[in-house]
Amino acid sequence: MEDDEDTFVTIGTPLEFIDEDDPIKKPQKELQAVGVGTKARPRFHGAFTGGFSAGYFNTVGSKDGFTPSSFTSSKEKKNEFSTQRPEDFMDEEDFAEHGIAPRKFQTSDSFVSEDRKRQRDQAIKSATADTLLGSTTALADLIVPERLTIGVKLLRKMGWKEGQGLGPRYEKKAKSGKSSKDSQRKVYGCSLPQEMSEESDEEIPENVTFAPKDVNPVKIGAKDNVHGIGYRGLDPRKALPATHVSLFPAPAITKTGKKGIRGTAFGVGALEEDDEDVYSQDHLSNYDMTMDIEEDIHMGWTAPGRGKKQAVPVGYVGNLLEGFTLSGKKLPPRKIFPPPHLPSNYKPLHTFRKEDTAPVSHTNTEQDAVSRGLTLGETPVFESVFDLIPQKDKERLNAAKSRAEGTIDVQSSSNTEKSSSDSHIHTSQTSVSSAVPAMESTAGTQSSPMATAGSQPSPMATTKEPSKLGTLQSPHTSRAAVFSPFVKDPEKQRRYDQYISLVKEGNPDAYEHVAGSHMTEWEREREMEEFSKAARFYKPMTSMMASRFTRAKFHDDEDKVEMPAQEEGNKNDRQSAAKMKMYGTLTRDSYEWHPDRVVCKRFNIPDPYPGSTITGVPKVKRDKYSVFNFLNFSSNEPIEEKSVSQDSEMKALPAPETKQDKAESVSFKITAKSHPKMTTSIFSSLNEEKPKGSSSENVQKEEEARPSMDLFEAIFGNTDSEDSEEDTPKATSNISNSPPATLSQASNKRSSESPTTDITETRDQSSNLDKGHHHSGRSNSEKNKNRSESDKSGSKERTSANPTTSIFSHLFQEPQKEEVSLLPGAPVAIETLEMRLSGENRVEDSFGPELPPVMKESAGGSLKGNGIMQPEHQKSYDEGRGEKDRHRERKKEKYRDKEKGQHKDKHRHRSRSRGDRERDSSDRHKKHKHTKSKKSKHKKKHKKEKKSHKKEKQTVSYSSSDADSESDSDSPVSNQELLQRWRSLTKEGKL
Amino acid sequence: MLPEKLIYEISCKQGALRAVRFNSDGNYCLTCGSDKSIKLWNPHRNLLLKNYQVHAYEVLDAQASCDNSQICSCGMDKYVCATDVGTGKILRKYRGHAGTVNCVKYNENSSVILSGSTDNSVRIWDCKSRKLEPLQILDEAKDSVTSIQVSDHEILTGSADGYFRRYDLRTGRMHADFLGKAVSSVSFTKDGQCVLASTLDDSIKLMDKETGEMLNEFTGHKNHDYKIDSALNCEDTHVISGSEDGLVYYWDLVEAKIVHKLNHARTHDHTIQKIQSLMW
Repeated sequence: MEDDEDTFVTIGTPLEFIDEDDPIKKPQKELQAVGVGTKARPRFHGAFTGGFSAGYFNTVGSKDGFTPSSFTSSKEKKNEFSTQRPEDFMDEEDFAEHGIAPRKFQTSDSFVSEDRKRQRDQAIKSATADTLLGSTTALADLIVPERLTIGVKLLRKMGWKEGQGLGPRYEKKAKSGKSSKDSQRKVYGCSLPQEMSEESDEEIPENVTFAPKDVNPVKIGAKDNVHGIGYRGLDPRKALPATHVSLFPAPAITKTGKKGIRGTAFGVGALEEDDEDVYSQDHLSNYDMTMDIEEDIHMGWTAPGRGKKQAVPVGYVGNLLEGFTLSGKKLPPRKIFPPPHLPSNYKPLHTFRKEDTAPVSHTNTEQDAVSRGLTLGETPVFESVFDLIPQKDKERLNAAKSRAEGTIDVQSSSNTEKSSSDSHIHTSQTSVSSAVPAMESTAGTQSSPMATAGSQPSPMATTKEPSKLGTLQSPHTSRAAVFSPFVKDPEKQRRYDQYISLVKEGNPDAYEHVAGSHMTEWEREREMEEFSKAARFYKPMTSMMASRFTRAKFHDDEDKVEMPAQEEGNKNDRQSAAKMKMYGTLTRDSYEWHPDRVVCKRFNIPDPYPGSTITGVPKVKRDKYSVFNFLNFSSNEPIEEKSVSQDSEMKALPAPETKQDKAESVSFKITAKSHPKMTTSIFSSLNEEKPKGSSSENVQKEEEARPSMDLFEAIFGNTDSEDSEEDTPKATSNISNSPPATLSQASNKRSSESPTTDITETRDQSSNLDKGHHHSGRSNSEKNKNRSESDKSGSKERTSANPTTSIFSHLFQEPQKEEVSLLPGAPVAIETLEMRLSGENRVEDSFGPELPPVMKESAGGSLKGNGIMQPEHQKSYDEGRGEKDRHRERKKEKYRDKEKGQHKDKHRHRSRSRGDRERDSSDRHKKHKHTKSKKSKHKKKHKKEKKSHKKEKQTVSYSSSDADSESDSDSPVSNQELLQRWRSLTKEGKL
Repeated sequence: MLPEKLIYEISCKQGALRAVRFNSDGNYCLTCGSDKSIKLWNPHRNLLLKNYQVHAYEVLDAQASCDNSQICSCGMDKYVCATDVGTGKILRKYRGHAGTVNCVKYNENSSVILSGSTDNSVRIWDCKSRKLEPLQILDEAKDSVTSIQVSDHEILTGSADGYFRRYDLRTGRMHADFLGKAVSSVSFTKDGQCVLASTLDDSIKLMDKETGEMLNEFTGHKNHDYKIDSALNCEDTHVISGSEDGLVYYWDLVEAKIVHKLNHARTHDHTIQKIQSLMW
């Protein structure tokens, strides 16, 4: 056995041992597909979810259904009698959404709307203000104030109380009268006890008023149909048998007086009496069998009193409408108005008044001296202003005018009147393209209505009717439609329009037809002139022209410059401080800076300037030409944000700043000022060639206006730089010898041509002066020579007319390492702005296999110097370096400051070429070519070189004029004079 | 203490390397090649993990985000790219710079990318939204922005105009300190009190952040032309910088003496790499 037990393995569960003695159990049936409610109770399955869920399985509370409540009461706990409600016999499911008595929680309307709630809150507050509840809202929510309509509230405010009627209060007198009447009334039967009525009457004091009784208002339904009064529509159920398909919804039957159902329902109730209609039969008697038409004189009129014959009064002619009676009153006679009495001389024709006579008073109000004199009978002294002009000038004017008319010219409009004669000539000489914007600008300054109107045509022509302009046959029509130069004077405008139309017709003396008779001879003449001018000037531009110009979208106020709000320290100080390694307050600038809102969010930092709309460093607009700005310019701030950062050049100045340096910076400013446009963007100047429209006269003028160097020095002179001790004597000597002054003038003059080239030149000067500094033995004449050289070079550069070339100039100052770095390939050398602008992108690293180290070593120099990438001419330059150059090189080496380090070979390059120029001009062509490193300019070059010859001649003339001005500036000038000059200069700049 | 042994020398085969950057925990590094590729390395096991081709021109800088899920990179194609590390797909490509983008950095929680470019601007790009416009442009620099550092509330930029600028978001101020020479690299010290700035006159300057005073100057190396990174080691005890003579210089922070030179270099790449590796 034991062995057996060990070896046996039981798998599965053993069957139950069946005891046969036990009664056989019926296998319990599973409940058939019972739904399970939320409480895991099987629940009744209706079609959907309806139906009661009561009974055994859907038990209420217990297996036995609901438990009947039994009466229990004890001493401690008294039984509270409670009525049973249907809810006591219902399951929770019945209250659910699909149950038989769904319970919805709804906000009662007193809580729904927002303003109600506010009102309620207020009411609560006022109600609980001085109670313990105070402002605890939880409790306050329980108190629901009664809802009162606004009418009730108002009435209450007016003193109305519930139960009272509306209306004015009355005194009891009427009542007493009534009571007296009552007393007189006969009383049948036993009379009322006397006291009662007596009491009620007597108790009322004399002056007590009573509110009127509350009366239920009579509700009158408004009549909203066109039926007659008392009309009732046909009841379809009456008319149609019940078997008939009811097409109309049966109106609700209302049975009054009896209890029972209201409205429609099935069948007939036991309580109802009339049940004859229940099984209504369709009977033939319901139908009208005859076809004869009843004479219906009433036309369906259902008014009361039908059928009664009216007694026609005697003498009444006519048919009386049935249902109406004749009124006893007579109608009031109609009032008759007699027709207006016509004047004897009336003619039934309308003649229009002559309009010319109308505005006499109008013109009378605007009399000027001449017209007044005329009315007084004086003889006018002169006819017009032009009479005062001497004959010679008149001729000149006419010549100018004819020339102006010769060109298509829209402009020159009121220049004849306003501007001086020479400027007029100047403008008339310029082409239309340049003249139109000029005119617009001048028009802005003029205040006459003509001028303001004159500024209108171009935009209107371009915007309003470009299509019209394209196909325009006669410009006058459109002009008449578009331009109204005399809007202010409608009469004049009308005359002008007439005049225009007459002119269009080709009438030779158009104005004579138009001229008002009331006008004086002088007025007439003036107006005629005005009209003819207007007709000439307000011609719309031809479509071609018009399409070329557009209104400026933004007003560019050139006088203003955006600058950081805070002041900056002196730039020179900063530079010298940096040089001396005195970092700290001197080298630090702090600005307010507004980070972007989102940036703050991303950095998880609260916005330091919440609500600020600006981001970045706030800028302020400042007057461009204020003296303080100039002071600033000499500091670090660039003239404009994106301008050629001259300050970077300044920074690149390794040399201690001397007086000369400052002079330079001043001259910078001037150039920048006189040509603000050039400073806007380097890139813009790249592709546009600076127009050299400025004639020699302009240059002359500018030259005259320019103050001498001393002034700048007086204003901007800084004495605190540490190097000033050594340099001041030199500088002063220079001043006494006056070359700096002339220098500046020369540079100024040149600046008028092209500001950027000027930078180079001043730079050159500085280098020259530096040289001079080291070789103090050099005479002034030598310097002058140098200067003239630089002049020449300047002129050369001018010929190139590409502003970028000038940017090379700062490379003179930039100490550049010449020797090759050991490792030319790897990191990116920092490209400073200057380098980038110089077009010398030093992309040393090329793709592909790296050079073997030996190669690198050897190629390093050229790599660095762009040897590999360089166009051929560069190489040729390297080879073509003559002996002279080397010689010069060596010479230069001496001058070179240690700190300055090695200049970029570019610099040498340039200076060399200049040197060559100095020595033999025949060589120039070739060398000059080297100065341009860009291939793209090759084509231009030849042309420009040709030009340069011409220019050089010009510069000669300049230098002669220089000499003139030199002598001017040489003469001692008082400060007052200088200031005046300064002012005129600034003015000119603004204009 | 000072690393003296050259552990690995990896030939990345990417042309010249423009930058080598470790990720935030120092386990991986990114190399930016001039062959337009970015490579992800495990430098400890000498393994190339992935090669990303997202740029159209030389890649100049890259950085891994704080959760190592993204790489931001910039290059001479003027684009700033955010790349998914796993798939190598470009998540965002920001264009807007007008010139070569020199440097790129994530902020602390990698929600924005800052990029500095030769167009003189620093642009802040949003990584969270789909917006492709910069959130803000910091255009105060007058010349190319060479280097950017971001702390939790500051943005530090070095520019070739000789300034390093610190934008403080908390106080809403911008401090511009003039160093006289083009600034090639800026970095915060670990304590956040000082700024280390390399300038192109062979010097590295330790500047006080608050006052702008110079605390120390480190010279002796050569740095005249190139953008060479400088950094402090993790304990702020040494200043490390590459040099144009191919060495890596170590200075004592306080004494400003050259304490060590690593002469392993054949190329600059390794110089930079070493610096980067020591930064972490």
